[in-house]
Amino acid sequence: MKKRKKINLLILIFLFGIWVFGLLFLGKNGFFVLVDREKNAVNTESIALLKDDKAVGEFVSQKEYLSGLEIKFKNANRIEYDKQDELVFRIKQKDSSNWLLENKYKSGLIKDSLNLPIGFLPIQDSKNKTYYFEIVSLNGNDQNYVTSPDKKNINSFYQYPKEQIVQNPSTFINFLILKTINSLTNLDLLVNSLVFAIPFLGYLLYLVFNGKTVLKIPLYILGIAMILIDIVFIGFTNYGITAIAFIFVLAVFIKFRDFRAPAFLFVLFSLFWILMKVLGISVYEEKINLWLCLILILNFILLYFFEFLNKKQNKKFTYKNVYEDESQAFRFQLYDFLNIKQIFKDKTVLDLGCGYGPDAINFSEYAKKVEGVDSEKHEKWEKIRNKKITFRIGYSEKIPFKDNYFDAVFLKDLLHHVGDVDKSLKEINRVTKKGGKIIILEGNRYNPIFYVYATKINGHDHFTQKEFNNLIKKNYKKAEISSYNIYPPFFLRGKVYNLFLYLILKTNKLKIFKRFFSYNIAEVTKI
Amino acid sequence: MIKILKKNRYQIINIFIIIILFFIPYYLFKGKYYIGGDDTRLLYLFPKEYLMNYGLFSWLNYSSSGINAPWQFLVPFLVVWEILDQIIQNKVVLGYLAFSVPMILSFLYMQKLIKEIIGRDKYETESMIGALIFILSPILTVNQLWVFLSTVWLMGLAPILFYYYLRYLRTGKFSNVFKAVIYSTLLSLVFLSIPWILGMLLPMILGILFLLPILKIVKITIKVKRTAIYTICLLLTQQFWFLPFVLSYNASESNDLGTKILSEEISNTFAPTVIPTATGNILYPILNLFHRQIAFDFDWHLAVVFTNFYDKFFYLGIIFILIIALAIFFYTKQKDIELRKRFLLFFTIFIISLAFFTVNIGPFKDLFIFFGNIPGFVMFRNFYDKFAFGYIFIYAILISLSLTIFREKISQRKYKLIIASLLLVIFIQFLPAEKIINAPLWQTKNTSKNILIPSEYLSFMEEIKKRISPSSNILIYPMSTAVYSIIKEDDSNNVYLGASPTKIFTNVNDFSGNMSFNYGFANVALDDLFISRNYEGIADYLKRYNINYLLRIKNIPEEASKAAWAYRQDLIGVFDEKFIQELTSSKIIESKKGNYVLYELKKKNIAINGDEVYFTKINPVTYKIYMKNIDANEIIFNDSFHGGWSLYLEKNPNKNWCKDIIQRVESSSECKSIFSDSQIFYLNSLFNKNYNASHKIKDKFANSWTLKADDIKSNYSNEFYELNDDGSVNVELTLYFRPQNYFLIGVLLSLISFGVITLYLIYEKKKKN
Repeated sequence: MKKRKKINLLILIFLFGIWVFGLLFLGKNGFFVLVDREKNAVNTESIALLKDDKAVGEFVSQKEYLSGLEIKFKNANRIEYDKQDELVFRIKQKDSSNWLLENKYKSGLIKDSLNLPIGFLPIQDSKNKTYYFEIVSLNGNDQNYVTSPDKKNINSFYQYPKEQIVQNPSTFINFLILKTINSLTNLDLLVNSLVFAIPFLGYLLYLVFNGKTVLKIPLYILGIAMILIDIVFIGFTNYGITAIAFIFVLAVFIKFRDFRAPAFLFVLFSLFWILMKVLGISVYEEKINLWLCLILILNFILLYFFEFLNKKQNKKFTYKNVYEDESQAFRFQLYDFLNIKQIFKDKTVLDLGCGYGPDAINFSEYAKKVEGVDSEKHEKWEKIRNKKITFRIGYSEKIPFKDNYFDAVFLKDLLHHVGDVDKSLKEINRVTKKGGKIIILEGNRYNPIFYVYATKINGHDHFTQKEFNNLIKKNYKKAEISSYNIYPPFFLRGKVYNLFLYLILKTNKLKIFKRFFSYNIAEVTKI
Repeated sequence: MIKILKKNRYQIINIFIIIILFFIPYYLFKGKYYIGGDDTRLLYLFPKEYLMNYGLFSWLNYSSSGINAPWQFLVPFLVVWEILDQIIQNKVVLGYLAFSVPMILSFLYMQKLIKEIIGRDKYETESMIGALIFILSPILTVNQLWVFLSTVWLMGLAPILFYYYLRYLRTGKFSNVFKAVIYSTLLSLVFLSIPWILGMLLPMILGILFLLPILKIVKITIKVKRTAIYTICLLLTQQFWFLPFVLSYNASESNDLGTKILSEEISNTFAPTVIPTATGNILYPILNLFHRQIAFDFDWHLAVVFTNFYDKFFYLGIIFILIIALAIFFYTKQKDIELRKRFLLFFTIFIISLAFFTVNIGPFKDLFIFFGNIPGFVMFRNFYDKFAFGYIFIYAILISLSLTIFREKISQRKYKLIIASLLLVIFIQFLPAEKIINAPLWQTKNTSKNILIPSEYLSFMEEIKKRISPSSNILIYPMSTAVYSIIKEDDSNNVYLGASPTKIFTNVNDFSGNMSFNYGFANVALDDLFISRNYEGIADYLKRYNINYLLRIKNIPEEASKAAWAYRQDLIGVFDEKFIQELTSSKIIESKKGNYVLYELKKKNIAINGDEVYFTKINPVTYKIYMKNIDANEIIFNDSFHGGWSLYLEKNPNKNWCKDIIQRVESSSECKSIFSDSQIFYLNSLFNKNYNASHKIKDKFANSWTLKADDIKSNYSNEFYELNDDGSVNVELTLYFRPQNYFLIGVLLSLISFGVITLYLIYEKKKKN
């Protein structure tokens, strides 16, 4: 539960961060250099610009670093490049004879209801000075004319020169402070930035309502109602679209309370974009695109996060996590290396030389059926035996099963105890189905630890690597032979054995010492 | 019967699609060559000529080829193509193969690659769909088939190389490396397209880096080892082009004209072009319609295809969005971890790739401009184009992987419906391909790119080859803005308008446009002379560039001559009869119908100037020179300056190789040589000491050396010169373009590498047996 709260808090902080970032740098606020924009009392009237027509205006700059105007023209038609009108834009300080900027713009650049930014080098001491500008049409006619903006549709903007920002940390901090103050005190920007607050507010509300599905349907109805109201009465304003998007995002979060929500949002926003295109409303194209970008990234983050959590759960063995049962630790590592889980999955398995059945129990977790065979009966058999596991007495030279019975056979440290090895291997082959796997593990005689502990002290007559290879090659046609360095716990316990195991497993990368690894392994495929 | 058909259904569909792909160019081009427009595709039709005059040499003279980078990438391909030419004996079929073979290769290997990436046998349909999306995508049609240059082979080579790489990584079988090496050598012309390759690799590498924390890479040392072996083998066998490519770039000096021009071009055009061309939004690429915004921004003909077709059906592309979304939706339900991670990997690469060419979205544009100079953002000029190939490659794989994620999670009926709709959308989106590929030339409406080269032109070229010395240069008249020349078809207005083919057909170098001159400073001066009609100045200027002939093309269609991208409109008026009268002395060759005329200029020059100089051109990188009575004499080589040009003194100087004098300007004489035309390699300068101390640039263009008798006498033994009574010396020199050695060393390295790889392969096979 605590973990869930932590994750929720992290998500909220992340989403809040998006809002702050959006407020400061995205949307109407420009990235990095733009510090502020404002609607000036620009003195101009809206007219259709035909050839030689001139639209003029003037305004007083409210701040330092005036760096351009954003002008929203109306463009009647989108026509071929060489037939487009050319507009000259000039600006100067009032009563000065020098133009600060004089530039030509093709009318094709102008899109209906999008601002055309006209920028120039920032003027450092622009505050309280009056500026005069004019827009002149060079080739305007009734086909290609554009309509000049009225005063509502001209904004001035202010930006720090980029070079100045990156000059030193103090100028950068100055710029950041100025930008933050301007962003927070400008109501227009604040309202506009709400578009970036949608996920944050959506998720917050979702948490407050604790994901009550009862809200789902009313939310959808509300969303559709708002679209209709917006189309009929308001005409798709920024605020309208923000509110609608907000409602839908909330609805999606409530419907899918997991990683799937953003996938649904992705389709939803794409459909919305297509709807806008079909209806011919291009105003939101860029906004929806921005959202789609963020949703795609959100999708990626969530999938990544999901895999990351998953990886943590299936964490590899380290010396820090202590197994309660040391011999199980040893076995699991061995299975891992042999890929036993994959091979035995849903298969009928023979554990030959099963002892009291520790491996058989483990195999039974994923195998279809496990048959344990040993030369003598063990007490634990009765306790362990269930639907999946059966035990019986038998010998490897004469396995008590019919031909082609098993999908897989497992024998560990058995062969060196057997009287007639060749016969045993043939017998194993007999009971294995075509394409079935036979996994054979045998201690390596020349492994230094085994040589002392098993061969010299306990008298196990292990095969050498060469003997083992010859034995397998002689009896089987398709076999992969490898070696692995791992040891049972001996007398080591708890953390000590874990540390030991951890270090020993590392030695498997030292292939040049392969000859001395503890186990010789053969993975045989019956053909 | 039905059982057999059902069992082999994928093979049957494959064969069926391959047959269709094979015949596509016949449907598109209707029996004509498809060679016109922008850069050239003549190499597909004239491999032998290309090989002999371009491919084998490091030096292409800074003129119609546009660059002086080595073109040895082309050699193996041209050899194979020439063999095909000899077998087929039909230029149309040969040309069309260049169109259909990349598509077929791409279709086959893309399937194999996707199957390998998925790593499960049961996803045959998904792999085939991925391959179809790739080759039939409008993005690939615009990016590769429309221009159909050497990059078109990247469609085939990219999946091939990735497929064999993955196979090698998984199985460790060396035969995969061998096959990859063979393919990459045969298709080494693809490596001319390095920006496209980088545009593909960059998102992939970044994607893998991103996912490293969650990728469980087992047996990492083996994988790193195999990757290293694969890369090294590829690299070593490609030394025949790689070595000259790297070394000549490295050896270029600040004084080289090529370097000057390139750096100027980069600084002038990279950032500014990126900003307008990167507009757009992320939905068009996901709908498989990437180029919409660019088409409108640049007023491409493609815009018409959009307004007439794609804009009406663009909502069909929602199927792609649906598929990706379904995959994300069912991601957590998919129990196959490996499959999941493969999807996530390509999803990551996809997002990065998408970001690279749709950076100009809303406020991201400001971020983009702010980071204007960071490589990756302005890595390539027109980089939308360079990233598009990698994008569609990744996109196709992503869609296949997406299908595999949710195939078992929804009902089979629904799944089949999705697959059927997807196939339908893929084919619908490919329908306007004919309109795109056969679009008229830029900014024209009735002039197309499909032509049959008139026999008049070919025989005219034959005459030039016979009669004009290969050491002279020709001016194409009227001059184009770039390095283009024009050939009009006999019975239509269709033209070839691309890199000038004069050198390909005649081995005589030509100056066909402003970029043939070292544009920047030189062409501005030349343009001024043209506009002011200063004929004296023009004549001097042309003389400096060793231009002795003028090739006049009379039958340029009006529409093409008005195309601003091909001809400067304020200059074209200058090229009139008066120009001919003032500058030329006589008409030398006229074609049968009078459409092509070659004039001799009044002011003539010669390739090598100097007192008492006899020379002959052996091949584009080697000249033989004999100089008499050297005291302290200047020798000028009238070809664009490059530090690689070197003089070598020969033992026992003589001029026995000079059969007759074929032209003489002042005291320089060009000889008809005893060396045959086919003498391609002239190796004796490989390890000799060169006489290079005084090599410097002359008149902002040519190479000059000052040979001093005292220097020669003190530095060389007397078998290298003949001493005259007055103390002057006679010497025999070889003028050699030293970077050609890189090519020869590269070939040697490649051959050795091939040998070693083959031997190892045989050894491995024997060991297994």
